[in-house]
Amino acid sequence: MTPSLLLQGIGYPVLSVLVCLPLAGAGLALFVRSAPAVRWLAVAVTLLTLGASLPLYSSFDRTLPGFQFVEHRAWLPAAQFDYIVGVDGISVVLVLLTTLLMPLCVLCSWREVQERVQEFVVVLLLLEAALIGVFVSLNIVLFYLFWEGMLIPLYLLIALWGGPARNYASVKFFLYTFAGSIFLLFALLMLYVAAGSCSMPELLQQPLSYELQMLVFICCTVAFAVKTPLYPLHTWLPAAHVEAPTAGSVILAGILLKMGGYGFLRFCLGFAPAATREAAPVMMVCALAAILIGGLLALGQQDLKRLVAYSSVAHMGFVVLGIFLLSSRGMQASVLQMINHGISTGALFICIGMLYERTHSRLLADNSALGALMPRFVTLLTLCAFSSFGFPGTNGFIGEFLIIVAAFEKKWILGAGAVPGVLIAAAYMLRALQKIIWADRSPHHHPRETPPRMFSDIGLREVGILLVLVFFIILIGLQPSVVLDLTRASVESLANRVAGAGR
Amino acid sequence: MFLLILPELVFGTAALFFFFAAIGKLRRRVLQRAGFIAALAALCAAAWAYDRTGMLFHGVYTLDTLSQCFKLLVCAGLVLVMWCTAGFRGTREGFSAEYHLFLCLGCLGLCCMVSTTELITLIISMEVASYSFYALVPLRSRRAEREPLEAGIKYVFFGGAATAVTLYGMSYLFGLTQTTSLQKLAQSLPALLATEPLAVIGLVLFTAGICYKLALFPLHYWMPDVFVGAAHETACVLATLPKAAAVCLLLRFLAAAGAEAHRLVLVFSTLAVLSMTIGNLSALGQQDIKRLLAYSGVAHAGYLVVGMLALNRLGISAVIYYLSGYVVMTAGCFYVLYRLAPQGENITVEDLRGLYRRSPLLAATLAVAASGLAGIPPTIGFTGKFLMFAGALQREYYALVAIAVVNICIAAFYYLRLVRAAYSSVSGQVERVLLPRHATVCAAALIAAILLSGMLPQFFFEKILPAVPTLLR
Repeated sequence: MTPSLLLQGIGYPVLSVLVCLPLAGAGLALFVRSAPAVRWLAVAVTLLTLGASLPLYSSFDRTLPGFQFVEHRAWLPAAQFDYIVGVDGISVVLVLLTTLLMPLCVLCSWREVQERVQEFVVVLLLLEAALIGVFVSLNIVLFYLFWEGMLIPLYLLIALWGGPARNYASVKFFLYTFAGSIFLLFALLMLYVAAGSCSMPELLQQPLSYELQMLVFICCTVAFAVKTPLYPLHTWLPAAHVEAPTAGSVILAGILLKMGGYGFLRFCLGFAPAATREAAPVMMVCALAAILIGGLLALGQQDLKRLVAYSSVAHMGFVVLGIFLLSSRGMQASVLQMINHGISTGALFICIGMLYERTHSRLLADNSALGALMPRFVTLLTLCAFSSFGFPGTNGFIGEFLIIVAAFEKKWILGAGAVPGVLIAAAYMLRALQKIIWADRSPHHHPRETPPRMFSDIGLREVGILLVLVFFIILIGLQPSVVLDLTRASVESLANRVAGAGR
Repeated sequence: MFLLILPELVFGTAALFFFFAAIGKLRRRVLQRAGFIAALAALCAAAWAYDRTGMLFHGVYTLDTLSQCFKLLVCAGLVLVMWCTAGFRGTREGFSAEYHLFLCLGCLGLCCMVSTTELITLIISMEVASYSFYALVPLRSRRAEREPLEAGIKYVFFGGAATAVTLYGMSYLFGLTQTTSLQKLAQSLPALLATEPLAVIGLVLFTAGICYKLALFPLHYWMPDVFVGAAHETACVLATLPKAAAVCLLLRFLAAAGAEAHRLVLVFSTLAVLSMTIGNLSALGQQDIKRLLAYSGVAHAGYLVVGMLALNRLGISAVIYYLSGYVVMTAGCFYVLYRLAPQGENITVEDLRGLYRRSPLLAATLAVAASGLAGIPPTIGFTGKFLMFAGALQREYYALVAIAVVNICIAAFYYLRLVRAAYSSVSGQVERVLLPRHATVCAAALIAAILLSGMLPQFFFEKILPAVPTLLR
């Protein structure tokens, strides 16, 4: 057993349980016919998974950089495949983010999804299992298995419960990500053949030749850049977001995009450190382009979902920038920013879903001047939007601030390039907020002049969903160490690994 | 001692039974029961003979673990195909006894093919299999149409041409080595291949007959037309069983030539690349599902050759593993077609629309089988492809694997089309597809087999690995 593997027990194989609970729930849901029962089942399973994941937070040893809660079993000894799962500081926060967001996804589709509820729940639970699996796998084949396993459920989620152009969007999503995954598969094959092992801890200890590293880096980068999505491979995202149901958008923005960032950290930086150092400038340029172009595109959108989708491109640009600064501070801020983006963009998509349920439109023009009608809603929406563009006191501020500081540390021009991104973010978010709350058709315009609209403010369930997310927005904003403490040791060891790698 | 060839004996006896049954007047149902029992008996015999090895008929007939392994695969494939297409509604009424007679004879030929290590016996057993399958193709219930006959003629002509080329190539091999025994050939062949271009030509031409069965480019042209013309049941047999036997033979010949035969490797990797690319690109535009599956079969022949060229422990065992998966996945697709077409008519992608409402189980079977063929985890299609390509990479065939991987990406599109059609919404009432109980069980078994074998490959590898050393010297 390699020293980086820590078989620290908390009495039961917590990671396998986390993967299997949603799977078992999906199996159970196949036999539940009535729609309300299957909804409650989904809530119970996702909450149970959330509960089961809490020991990861409490028992995680924050001083160790290696993998913890490791389970190791033989799977295919004939080809040196093993079933290995474990988490380090980077993946543990992403697992927690997944288990936190999934119950909210179930709750936010309570009224939206009325057809084929049973299948919806099955697909959602399968997705949760696959997402957790991606973050905990320490075997590259197992990783790929979950990585691809997530594709079909999400494809179905868009194709079956999506909007009018769902066929186009779902096929585009599938083909884009599948094409990306094929590159990943090739990289994994080469890693496997070169090292004779599929286990990530073992691969981390084997020095690979520079040429091989470069090949692995390029292949992995294509795969993860599609997933992240990094400019110029982002075009599937707006289409998929606009057509996806709310839960699909939340998962897509909240968790799925993080798989890209996670992949960069785990594969590119981990297995190809020398190549990463060589290629980092290119990646940083792409990231800056994503920040600026994503922001500018968001500025011009009329469709709210499309707006948030493009803002995701910009935010993930910050994440990629932070990762490829290759400094410990930048990477740590990136991991934090991934969590922030998951929470705040997830919250924004949930808000848009709530609006859509009432007005049946996502266009800014159809959703204007709601401040007087839905005071509770606009209050929470404002908080989420502020967090999204990084208002001080919210989580978004900490993440973006740290990334920009790290960029300035690296080279002033990088920092200077990223700062306009923050300004644009404030511009598009405030523009949208202003329209939604007040609208400015005439200086003394009053909502009563328009025909009365019959819909109510958000109810208890909806307030509850948003309050959970707002709680984390403020908590991380004021006390970022809840996340940073978990990630510090692992990120520092990864940064040292990259710094120590030479040609 | 003759118990070593128990599966062959079972098939021979069954063929005799059906021969006499063809004279008498047995009911269709009885004949089908008998056929299924015969297949099951052959499967049991093959399982019993699995770890029994030996030589028969003065070294002409070698029963090593490899041949027994493939025999098991052929017998299991036959049982599966018969189970999937239980009832044989698409075959011509009144010819049940003949249909089963030729099916058993064909499988007898395949079993002989995988066990023989002498060229003339090989040709004879290949022809036994071929002629039986030639006769199956026109036996379709939709007699009024032109396609079954056309398909039958095409299959015979192409097959005959391939056999002629094989014999021509064999004359070269015999002229160069003065032997028809594969063991002796294996001793002199590696040296000859390195020095004598004629040996490469001879060997490549000789494998024409095998490539025909495998539907490898450029001998794949028969496949789409024959599939469209033949009944679903027949097409399912042709897509799976001869392919398995052909893989065994090609493995034997590639192993005899040795992995160092660069010219031969070049020829076969070119064929593999063309096969994959042309198969996948042709499949993209197909509307008829059988035609689509035919082209997907051509592409799969290419993937299998990539794995075979690795000629190492991982590559060979992965080829056998993937092949068994391919049989199950293809049978799964044909099962859906068969159940959807009560009159045995051909099904287009358009006909699949709304399948999930007509029968959720059929839609799920199709989705799992198609995802398997596309190579999406956690199916056997993914695990098998991964291991095959890993084997090829161990030999440093980077470009070959890269092309194969790109091809998988192209292929995903048309497999996805099937799944999407099956799950697309339709408005209004739809008529449900009623499945008999055994068909429901069959669908569940197919889904479970495709998923479980992909997730737990170790069980199969334990069985397959003993067969590999017979090929590696």
